[in-house]
Amino acid sequence: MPNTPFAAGALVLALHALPAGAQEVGGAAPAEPSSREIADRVQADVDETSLRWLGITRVRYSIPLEFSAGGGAVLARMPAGYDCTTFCEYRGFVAQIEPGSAGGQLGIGYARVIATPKPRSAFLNNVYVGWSARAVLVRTWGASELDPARQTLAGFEGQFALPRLSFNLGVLRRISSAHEGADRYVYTAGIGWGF
Amino acid sequence: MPAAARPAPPRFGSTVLFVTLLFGLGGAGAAPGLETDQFFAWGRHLEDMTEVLNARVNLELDRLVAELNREGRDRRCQKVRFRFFKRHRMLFFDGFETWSVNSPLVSRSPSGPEEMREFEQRYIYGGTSPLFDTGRWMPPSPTVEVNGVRLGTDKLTHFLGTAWYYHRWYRKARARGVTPAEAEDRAVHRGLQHEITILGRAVSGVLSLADLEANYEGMWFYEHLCAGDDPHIVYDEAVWRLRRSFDLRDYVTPEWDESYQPNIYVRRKWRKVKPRMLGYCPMLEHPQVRARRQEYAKRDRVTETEKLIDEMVAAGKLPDPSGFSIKSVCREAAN
Repeated sequence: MPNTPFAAGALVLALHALPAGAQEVGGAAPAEPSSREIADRVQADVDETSLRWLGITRVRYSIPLEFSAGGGAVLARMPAGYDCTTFCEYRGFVAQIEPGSAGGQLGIGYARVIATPKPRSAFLNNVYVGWSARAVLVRTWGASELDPARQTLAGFEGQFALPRLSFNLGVLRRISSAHEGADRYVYTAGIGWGF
Repeated sequence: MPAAARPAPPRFGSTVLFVTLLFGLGGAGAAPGLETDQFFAWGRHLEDMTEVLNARVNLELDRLVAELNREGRDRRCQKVRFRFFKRHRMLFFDGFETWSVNSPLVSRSPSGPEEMREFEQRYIYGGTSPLFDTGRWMPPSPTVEVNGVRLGTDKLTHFLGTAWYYHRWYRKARARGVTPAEAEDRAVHRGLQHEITILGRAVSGVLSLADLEANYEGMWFYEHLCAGDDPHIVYDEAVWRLRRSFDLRDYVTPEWDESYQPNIYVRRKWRKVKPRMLGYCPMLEHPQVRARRQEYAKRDRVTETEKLIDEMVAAGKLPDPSGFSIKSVCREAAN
């Protein structure tokens, strides 16, 4: 996993020896650890944490970006020994950049997501369920349906993700200048895949 | 003044392409499943995890006690129960389950990328479509062994997570003056309705009786957490303390093993599961499997959940679960 400190890796190796030792076939059986030893190992396993970052991607149709593809990362702290083969909960900072056919978006915020990276992948490939709350900066261009077509907006976006779909809702406030009568606020909504 | 963006002109072709791509990608990234499969663990060695899982729960109880002592005052037992529940509640899954599927201290099957790949090919729900089988939209629960019983790690979520709601229904009924037996009955009935509808059969096509067993036992764990004759946590002389350690052995029974306590399947699901289950018939003669099932039979008892299911079967509201057992499937195939 990227960004896993060396010390945490050493702990993982030490902890790995526990069940592996118990699974050895033949030879002298290792002494059974006492309840106190087991409790200490469990506590160490829970408390030794590391920061991990993993890539996130999404494609979606939304107002005002229309068709867009985003890439970014989630940075989360979790027990260092977690292998995340089945699933892990990633809880922490999220940042994503997302160019689209009618605009681009930069978002940063907080995310909680249950997901699994594929082996040797630095991306959260299987997102099971999750949500995020992000502060976003949007610049529209070209084919934008907004009036005026080119403007800069800032606001908030909430996202909820299921295994196949991801939904988002938000509100943006125009921060660039525009002609009189132009809408100041834009409600955003979108549907897509990924996180 | 708030205003929505102007409506976009119709772009039917590109939208269809996008939606197709969306579902295509969704299928490619499909989750292996929400269910658990103890058949896959048949013949595989697993260390008994009773002490390890007990230590994990007791660590959390110790921390709860420390937290209560930092506040330094008496609390209603229901508040204490909720504080414990909140400590390990996570998004959708329970913290104990998340730990047990990830910790290097927990012996489980499948474990690691290679065995996980094998599991995805062979597991009992693998014949269903990952696109349309909602049960496969969530990750699978590996099997662990506790006090000689093989169970899915999802049972930890049922026992310590879903059971919280059982207990809340129980307490609500008690608060209305209902007798303990009637309150228990109401909680169990309501739990079954949830498992039939939103949590189980209607969504994934599987009604797991083993899940119900774990929910039921968890209800009593919460009840006795800080109340009754033999509570785990007490407030004594202005100090909170862990009076009695938690022990999974008090709760886990062979009925938590889904290869022993059969699930009830809806027809469409059973059509896919049955052929895969048939593949395990020869394994019934495996020494490890035979010994375990004999041991289970010795420890087997009629549980409250089984009584309720029997009532439902007698009333024609549920099919007989014994028809979905491995023994029944293998006997039928042999004839």
